[in-house]
Amino acid sequence: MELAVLKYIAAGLGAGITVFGAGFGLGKIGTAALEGTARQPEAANAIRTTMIIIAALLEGAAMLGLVICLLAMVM
Amino acid sequence: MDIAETIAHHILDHDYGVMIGSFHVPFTAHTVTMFCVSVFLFLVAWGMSQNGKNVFARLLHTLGEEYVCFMRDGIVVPGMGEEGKRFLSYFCTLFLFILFSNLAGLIPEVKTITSNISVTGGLAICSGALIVYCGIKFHGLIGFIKTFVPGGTPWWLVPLIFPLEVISLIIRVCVLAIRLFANMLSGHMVLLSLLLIVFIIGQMSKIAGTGAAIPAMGLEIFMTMLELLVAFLQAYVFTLLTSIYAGLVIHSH
Repeated sequence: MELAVLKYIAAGLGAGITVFGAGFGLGKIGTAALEGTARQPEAANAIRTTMIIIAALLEGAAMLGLVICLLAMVM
Repeated sequence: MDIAETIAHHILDHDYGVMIGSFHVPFTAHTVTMFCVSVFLFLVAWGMSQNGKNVFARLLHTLGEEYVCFMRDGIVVPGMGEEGKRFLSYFCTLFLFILFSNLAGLIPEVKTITSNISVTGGLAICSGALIVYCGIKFHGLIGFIKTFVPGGTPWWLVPLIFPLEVISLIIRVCVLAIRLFANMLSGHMVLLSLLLIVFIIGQMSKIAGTGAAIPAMGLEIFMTMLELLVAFLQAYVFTLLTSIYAGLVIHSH
């Protein structure tokens, strides 16, 4: 196996692990949001807004990892 | 069908190679699109200033009032407090610029300028300059440097905490740029890849290509709607985080 093939394997593994972390984190955010809404339905709107903001931040971190994987593949 | 060439044409920037004498004019696809988005944003802002007699002249004005109130009460004042109101025009412009750029990328044949790291880097530099300016204006230069050392740290921790805080500010500003860039780039790459899959399978056999087109187009429609959501969300998150970081620097003691 030549060294050039390792780039692609590394990129694929890196992307997979990044998405695993993002999925786990988003699940935790969703759990907390749903539990909070179930306890106090009046706060549903505020909880939904906060949940979306935190989800966007987490997606940002996951995208950083994916961009590095793409860079590893291209360079 | 050359895949690398298709990707380069649709996602990467494309220089038109205009020269004046020996000066290379930076006339690329993304700069032309950025100019058009800026002109459109200027026209929208001008329309929001018109408060004429007939209801159509007042339409943009009414929408503009609603929008500025949303920015002031939802983003600037919760993040920066009452002192943030003097920077309201920057936040309104930033949000609309990122929003129009992201939405323009969804139109076929129009490039997404925010999928270019130079554009998002420039926006992050503007937000970083705002944060530093707020720090220096509200605390003075020495006071701004003192905000990097939180109150109550023992003297032997300061050489550890001070570089960490400085690096943390720089990284937060860079991550603002990378978050917007990566979200826009990855969205467009997924959209492009779904279409390319149909053509790649179609090169093997036309019937398989037609069969692959049905789930690919279904996913494509779903991904476009997700891209629409991400366009609004990323503009909102960029502006909200700028205001929160500026607020942290203003109220830090």
